[in-house]
Amino acid sequence: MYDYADFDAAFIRLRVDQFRDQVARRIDGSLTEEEFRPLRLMNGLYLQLHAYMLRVVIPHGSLTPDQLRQLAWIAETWDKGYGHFTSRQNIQFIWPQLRDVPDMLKALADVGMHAIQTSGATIRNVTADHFAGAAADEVEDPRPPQS
Amino acid sequence: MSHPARLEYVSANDLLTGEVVFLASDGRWVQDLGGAMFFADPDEGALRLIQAGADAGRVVGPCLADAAQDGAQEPVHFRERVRATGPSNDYHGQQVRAAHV
Repeated sequence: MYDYADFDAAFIRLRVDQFRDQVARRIDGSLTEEEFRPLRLMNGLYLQLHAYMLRVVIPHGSLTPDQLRQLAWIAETWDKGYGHFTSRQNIQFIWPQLRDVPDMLKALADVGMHAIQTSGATIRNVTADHFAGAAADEVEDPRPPQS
Repeated sequence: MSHPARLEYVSANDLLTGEVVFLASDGRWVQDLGGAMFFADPDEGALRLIQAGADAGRVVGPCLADAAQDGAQEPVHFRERVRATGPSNDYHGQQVRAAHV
């Protein structure tokens, strides 16, 4: 489980405020889409075929019960009541509205979560076979060595 | 052998909701492809696309899409058919809206 230091928590909240301002400026026309696109992608907000999509980081694929409840609350409050877990153990909300995303990010920050850098060349969760260490015919055990 | 006539329409995503929208003849953006304006004249399509590009406060990524004029005005390309009808993996998006009309 990844625990935030005070610095991390303050930084995440700062980024939420920063993105709230960027969204407001995109809506009022101060920012063009070309200017806004890299800013939203840095905050995990994509525009896909049908709608916006917000990809949330789940470091190591591990969640506390409070974090999981908060994800459910976010889905019910600002999305259609569900999210999609990804093959890299993150979660994506696939029907958010642009105005709501800063509030979604604040709700994530309240439980030590964020969507920063879920787009682009960034550190990703690495997943492996769920039978790792148990399958008789595996070539290599991908789990980290136990000390 | 004659080919079916090709039409074009302007498609985009709504800035606030992100949902798929189509340019109508009165300049509004509508969610139903049936309400879209179709052009047979490529020059008119190009002009409408320029006008749509100036509507950046309401839509993102306006583009011209091809439609076949064979009775129904259907998107030619699979991507645009999916955009017009909604996600194919579940009953959400446009399908839900159509069910409540």
